[in-house]
Amino acid sequence: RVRKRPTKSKPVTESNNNTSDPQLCAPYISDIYEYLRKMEVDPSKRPLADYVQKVQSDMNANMRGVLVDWLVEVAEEYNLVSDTLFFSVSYIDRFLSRNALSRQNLQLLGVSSMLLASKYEEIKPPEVENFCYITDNTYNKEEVVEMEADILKTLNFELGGPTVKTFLRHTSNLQFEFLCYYLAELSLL
Amino acid sequence: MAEEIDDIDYTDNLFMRLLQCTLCGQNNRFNYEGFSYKILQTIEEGIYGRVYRCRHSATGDIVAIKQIKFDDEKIGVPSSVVREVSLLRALQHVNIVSLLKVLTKETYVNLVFEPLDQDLSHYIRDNRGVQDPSIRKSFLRQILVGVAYCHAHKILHRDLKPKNIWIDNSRMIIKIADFGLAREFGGDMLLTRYPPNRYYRAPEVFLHCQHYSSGIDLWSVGCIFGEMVIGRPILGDTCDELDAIFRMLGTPSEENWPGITQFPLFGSYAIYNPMDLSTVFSGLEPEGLELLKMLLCLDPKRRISAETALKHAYFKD
Repeated sequence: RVRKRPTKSKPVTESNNNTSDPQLCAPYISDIYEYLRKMEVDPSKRPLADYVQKVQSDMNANMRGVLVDWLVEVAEEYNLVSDTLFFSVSYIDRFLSRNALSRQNLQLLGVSSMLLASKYEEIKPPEVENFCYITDNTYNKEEVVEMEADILKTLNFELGGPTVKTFLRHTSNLQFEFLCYYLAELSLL
Repeated sequence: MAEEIDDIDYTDNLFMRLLQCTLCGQNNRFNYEGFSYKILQTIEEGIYGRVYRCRHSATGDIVAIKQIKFDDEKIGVPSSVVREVSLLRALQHVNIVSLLKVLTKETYVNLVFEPLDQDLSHYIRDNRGVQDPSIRKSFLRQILVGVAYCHAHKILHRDLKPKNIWIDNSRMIIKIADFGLAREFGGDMLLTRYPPNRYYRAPEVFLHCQHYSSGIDLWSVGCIFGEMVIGRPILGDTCDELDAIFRMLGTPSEENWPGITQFPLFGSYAIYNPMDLSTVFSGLEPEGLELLKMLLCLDPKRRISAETALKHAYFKD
């Protein structure tokens, strides 16, 4: 299930008064997009398209789908902004492109990725214990924190960079914007 | 860069890997895979931990190591470290301190930086400002180049102050450091209200404007520029910085800051006329004074950007 409404989003009407994003300052817009594009195509920051076949032996694409679907709910439960959700999924895919993981640890990777994405993006990231609780205490704090360190090493601490969400901004049509958000979230699955 | 991370065998269990990665041993040494860093000097002590000047036992390289302690290992890596390291990974520029290595352990992390000599606050204190006009100009230009680079990479520093700006003494090169409060801008996030340090905090932040942007860094640069001229923080000792800002620059009105009256907090401030800045910052060239005024423009929308500031007449020669 993908949500029918987009995740918490900046008050759209307000930012639409002028066509540009209030936080993206005009002199840098072209520099920024050029830089984002460069990051986006950098192979070292991209997941493999076929890692499920190539790298993994114990998981399949369905399991990934179930995990992402569940993370959407977690993001909703803790009121996380949608950038955090998109970052989480990106960390998961980049991690799984480099490390084989048993299916038992897939959910652990999911919560630890979301913990990291929250620390990167949120003003008040949820605590480690919130992420344990949401897994019905399947994993303890030590395991979540260990996996976090594992992800940081695999990703070489490179947590920024563009996701689909980064490019979803400037529209003047609310309906169109919401449709874009919906499609972007569908594309996570 | 960051070779130590790739050298690690991912089939080991995590705990053993962390142990291999860094062992902080006795005798003031950071051990690293058999090699170690000898601590030569403590450069700085802060609430987060310490900055040491160290020499590598094998290569003899001098580095600066910032050791950040975690309050509680069960929270994992603090978000300030997560941001600082991942943002510095994205920033490689001569005017931004370069991060050479990250050595993690369970309760602290060591960030290994290129060597740092002294920060601008020490320089200002020891020399009562930056009196040589050409050095002052060069420092300001380098700070602006570094800030423009950050902004073009979608990163706000949010804590620019003389203490976070380092000087490579031998070549007089400026290095912007301390990205613990930095973050990407342009997301959905409303930004937190209270960075940076009060003396360098932009008026829109005092007024609780949540959509602040790159302008807050430029305001801080303006404050630093002024401090280089007069040798002390431009606002001086005050418990109400916004009042002090208005005393110096004049209380804004709808005319020079459209929308100012919409801020609920604004109504409580007295109306001041602007001071004559050429007396406040006597000794500054007229072009410099003009640029300073553009950096200390109250309305963030009209404040000069780093990119544009670099094209200012002050830097013509």
